[in-house]
Amino acid sequence: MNRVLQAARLHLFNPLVMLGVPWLVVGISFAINVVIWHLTPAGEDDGGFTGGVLALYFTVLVMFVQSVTQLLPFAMGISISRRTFYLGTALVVVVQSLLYGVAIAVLVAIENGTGGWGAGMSYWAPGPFEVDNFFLQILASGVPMMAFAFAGVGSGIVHKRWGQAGTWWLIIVSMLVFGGLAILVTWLGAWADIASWFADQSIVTLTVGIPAVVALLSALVAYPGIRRVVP
Amino acid sequence: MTTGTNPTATVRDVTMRFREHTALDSVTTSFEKDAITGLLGRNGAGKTTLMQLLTGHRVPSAGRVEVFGASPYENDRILRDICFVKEGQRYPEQFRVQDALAAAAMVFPHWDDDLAADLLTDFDLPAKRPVRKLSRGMNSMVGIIIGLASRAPLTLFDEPYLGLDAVARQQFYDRLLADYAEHPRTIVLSTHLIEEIASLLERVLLIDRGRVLLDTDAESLRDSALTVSGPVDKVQAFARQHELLHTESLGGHSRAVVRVGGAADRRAAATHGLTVEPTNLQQLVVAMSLQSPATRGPVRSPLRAAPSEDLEEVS
Amino acid sequence: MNEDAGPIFRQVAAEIENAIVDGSLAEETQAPSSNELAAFHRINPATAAKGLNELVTDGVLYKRRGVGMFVATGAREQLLKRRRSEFADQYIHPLMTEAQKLGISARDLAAMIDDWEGQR
Repeated sequence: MNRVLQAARLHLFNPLVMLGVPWLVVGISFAINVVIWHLTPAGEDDGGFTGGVLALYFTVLVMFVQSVTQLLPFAMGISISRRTFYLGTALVVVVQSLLYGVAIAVLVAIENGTGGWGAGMSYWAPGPFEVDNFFLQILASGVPMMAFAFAGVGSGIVHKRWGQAGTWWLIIVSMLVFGGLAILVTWLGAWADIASWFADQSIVTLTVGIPAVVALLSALVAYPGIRRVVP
Repeated sequence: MTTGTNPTATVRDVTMRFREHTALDSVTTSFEKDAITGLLGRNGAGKTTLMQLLTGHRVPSAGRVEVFGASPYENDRILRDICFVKEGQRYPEQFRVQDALAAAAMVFPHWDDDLAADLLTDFDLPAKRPVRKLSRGMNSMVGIIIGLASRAPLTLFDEPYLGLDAVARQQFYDRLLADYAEHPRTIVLSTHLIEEIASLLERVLLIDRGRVLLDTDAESLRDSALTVSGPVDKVQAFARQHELLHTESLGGHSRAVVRVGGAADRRAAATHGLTVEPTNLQQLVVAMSLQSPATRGPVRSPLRAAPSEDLEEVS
Repeated sequence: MNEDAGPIFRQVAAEIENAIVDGSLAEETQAPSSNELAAFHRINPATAAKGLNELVTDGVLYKRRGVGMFVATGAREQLLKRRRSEFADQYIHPLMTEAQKLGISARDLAAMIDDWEGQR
């Protein structure tokens, strides 16, 4: 077996944990939402949606943080190079995200076929993330998943490379950057411009293009970090 | 098992600096093909760092490390033939013993499933138990099984016996020896339990404070030092003609560990009226490590006696 | 093997010599292999091989290609001869050194040895 495939295979030794946990979490979130939407008239309003599916995205992020922190020391212990581990992990991210995209696209189709689970609920592809083409839906749901997964891989690498302190720095720096940007935008009174910029973008750019750029950037930034990790 | 012309690994003038200290200081050595080398030295001597360099886990600050003729750092072609069993290896949270072994079986091309199964039975390890629920000793056993069953052409054990009782350690040594006899390969074994493994070693590499103190074959080392005892003046007279490593006195009686050139020196000591005993590896290593580094030049050959002027400075 | 008794390969060689001298390893029979010696004594196979090779150099053992090492004809006689010649060095010398320390003369010693013989 190719070395990269072997590294990818490491992620799947316990598929129940790797695949089960995210779907368990989102399944519970979904069940709660279905119950609530059936009990309340929220669904009567046109276009009502819930952000519950984000639970899946965030759980995947956390799973990949753990994959890196747990598997990397072991992978290096059995003589897999950092680069190979990284490529194997990236392969898992891409394939898994696309499969999740397919699963979500199917769920979206069911959702639309059942009148929003009989409650007019838009759960699996809220708001702009719903597109009217099955194959595009796979990308619209799967590519953002990829961005979350790579963010997880990147955070895991930061943790292995710079330890707990590195993780805190990552959080603090991200907050400062995004908070600073928000202040800057507010100060410039540019929120309206940004909103209209987003409005001008096509659905594809918003749901596939931008997440793809984020995924690629996280992937590229993470790589140099892993090169000097000592297990 | 012969003196190899092509060493498995070479370390040339390697220095490893960390922010606060120098772990290895221009170390040059090589690891003979298909020999068992004991990597000895005190805590913090640089043993683990050297092994990390050999396995590409670290890159040297200066100098060159080559394994199978190329740098091991991020080199999959080289790494697949290296197995590094380190003290306190961490395993993924959800991995059971059998998962760890299956993963190792997948990546090591020379892996032997039967040997792994035998060892599992020998050590009485529960294959289905998560590794994180194992005791310290059992955790070490998982590493030992991987190290032996991988049959990697270069296998490194870094104090692999953490938490192992005397019985399990003996099982490890016996298995190592038996499998090595059938499938010779280059083995590097770092340990503090010198006495336990001394007879397994073909070569000895002793490092102290990041420098090489000894790099020689175990048998000539055993032949290279004597413990002489007798009246203080006679012991001193004999020690003056040789390299004194360590001496202790009680009343008018004194005992010294000295390095000697061969059988002639042995007889000379006897004719001096001294009691002569061989010095075992452990005693020799302790004596050498206790010497103050200021009085000690680099040791190139165990058979060459140092100039006797050094004597006064040695306590 | 005794790790406190100098080079192990010499101990291995001495042990095989002993077996030949006391007859438990007869001439023209096969000597243990280096791997057998290694496993039995828990020593490095290279060290065991070195012990065997020393005996080959001395003409005590000889190699049969693909089979192993065998005790040479006349090996026992050769070893006895050598040991007799070393006897003085190994036994008389320390005996005399100790005797001198204790003020026992060579004549006294001879008498003691006669005594010892008579008691057997």
